[in-house]
Amino acid sequence: MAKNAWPFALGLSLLIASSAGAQVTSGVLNVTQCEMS
Amino acid sequence: MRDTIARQSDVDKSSMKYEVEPGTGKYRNGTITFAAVKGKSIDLKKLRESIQATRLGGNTRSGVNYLDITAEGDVVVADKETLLKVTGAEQQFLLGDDPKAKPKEGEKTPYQRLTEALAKGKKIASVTGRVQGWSGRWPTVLGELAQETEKNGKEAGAAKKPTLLVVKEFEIAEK
Repeated sequence: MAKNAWPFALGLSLLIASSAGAQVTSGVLNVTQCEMS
Repeated sequence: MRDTIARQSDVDKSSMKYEVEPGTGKYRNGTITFAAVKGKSIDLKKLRESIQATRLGGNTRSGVNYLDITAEGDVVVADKETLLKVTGAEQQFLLGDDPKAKPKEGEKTPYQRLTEALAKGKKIASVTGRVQGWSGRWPTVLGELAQETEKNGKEAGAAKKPTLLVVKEFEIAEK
């Protein structure tokens, strides 16, 4: 039983690893700066 | 500032826009919008380090009002906390409400709506929020952000303190 279970466990681990991530795709930075310089 | 952001290897230079609020004052507010190079994620630690290396890391009256980011990918619920972990970087955001804001009675905040969606089994496609700590005069902000990074670095092995991302809006993934 345990012998047959490892591919399932591996698949589940890969699924968790691949889904637990995000990418910062854009940003908006509002600044106050000296326009004269 | 625009040049510093444009120099980031993970920022798509052609995506950048800069708008200055009208006025005649010496110090004026400007908004810089930027997007990541396709397939890359913008590293806020590197961005902060690059800004610190400019004159803004020294003595200046210039400042930052806010930094909003949009992140695409999975939101993870762990230990009753809603986390956004950035792939391939030591960036982790704790999603939440603005601790200083007073929510209107009977009105749910974007973060409350997000947690409700997660509880219903919905998958979040993207989150837009305001990064805590990016507000104030540049030297103070950069100094405090650097201290926070250093503190997290020293606590290797221990759970790192994620940065609060105040949720403004989010999108649910279509099934």
